[in-house]
Amino acid sequence: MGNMKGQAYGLTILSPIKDEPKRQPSHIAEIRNYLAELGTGANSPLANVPKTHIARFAVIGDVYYQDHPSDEDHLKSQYLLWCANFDGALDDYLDQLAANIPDEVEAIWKHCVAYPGTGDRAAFRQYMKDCQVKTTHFFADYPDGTVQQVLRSLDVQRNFIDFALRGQEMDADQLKEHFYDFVDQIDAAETPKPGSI
Amino acid sequence: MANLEGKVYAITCMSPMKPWKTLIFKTVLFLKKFGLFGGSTVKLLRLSFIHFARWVMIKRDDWPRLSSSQPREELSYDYMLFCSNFNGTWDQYIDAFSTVLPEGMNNMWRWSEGYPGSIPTTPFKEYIRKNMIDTDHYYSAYPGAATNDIKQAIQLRDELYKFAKSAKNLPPAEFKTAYERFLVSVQGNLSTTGPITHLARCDD
Repeated sequence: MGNMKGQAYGLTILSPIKDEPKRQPSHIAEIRNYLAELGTGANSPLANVPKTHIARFAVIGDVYYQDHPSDEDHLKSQYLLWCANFDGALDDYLDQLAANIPDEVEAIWKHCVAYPGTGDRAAFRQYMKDCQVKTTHFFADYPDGTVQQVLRSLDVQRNFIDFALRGQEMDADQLKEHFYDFVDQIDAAETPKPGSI
Repeated sequence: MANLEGKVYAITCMSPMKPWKTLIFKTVLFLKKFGLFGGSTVKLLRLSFIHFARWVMIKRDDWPRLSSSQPREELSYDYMLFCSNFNGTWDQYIDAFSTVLPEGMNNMWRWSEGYPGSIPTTPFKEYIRKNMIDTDHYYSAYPGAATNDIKQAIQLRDELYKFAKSAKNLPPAEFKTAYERFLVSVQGNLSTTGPITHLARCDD
């Protein structure tokens, strides 16, 4: 299955952007301006879609000419490209996207042809699937690591480094006692917010 | 800097392919599943600086047309979309591919119009640069972590819990000895995360 590797899914969406030549600003300009103003890291709206590992938005205005003797191609529409790498099944992810950040999804995709909104979840999922292009070859370096596992592991790593430094000063009794306190703490710790590490 | 988020860099590249070459390329990728041309994936894993990467073949009829009022695309070429999320600079990334995976890169790109080959590096970089699309918004759930940080952290967490379970009933002096052995065994897993001070863009 080209879109998946392990439990990781590589989603590629090409959404045609509305073309209204007399509109100012144009739809493409509004998309670019909105995306440029979004917060990054933990402040990105995608941080509130916790199945998301890494994702990007880009606007495809046209294809590039490769010089003679290649033919000169031009697109008749412009497209919003959205590439997302996330955990698990597509429907679950799209539902999480629509449920968690409906305003941001609306602000981006309202500029796209035939976008139905997030209110009708089935229509929203179908729209995304209509815009989906199948990934031909997908590479994932940690295909079975979910976002939660990655974040918790990174959190354990940084906390264990602190513990290892403090442990150098402890005698055997203290070391054992504090080590298992440490293990209890990491067991009880909340998963760090996506985008925060 | 929209192509960059913490330690992760986004490259998006789209290159044209004659439709008959798309069929050959798809066959090459299909045969990779059976171990043929499989060396590239192994080498990609060993390079260990790419989080996720994908190749997407957009055939002439694949461009979504969602309304009768939207004009139908009339293109001469199919297009290969390449998206990668990697650690390091753009130059380091392309240099690594050119140096470590020249044949792998040729197997992936030779079907694209105007592709000059992965060696020498300068025309290869010029080709990639020419066909790049800049990112408008880029997100990572763990921007301060490189791929090795992540793999080391996952392994550390697993080993930590195994050690904690195995050492629970040891008297303190024996625990300390076992802990010190454990610490030595995971010393390679103790990398730090966080932003890097400077990354150069390919057009700097």
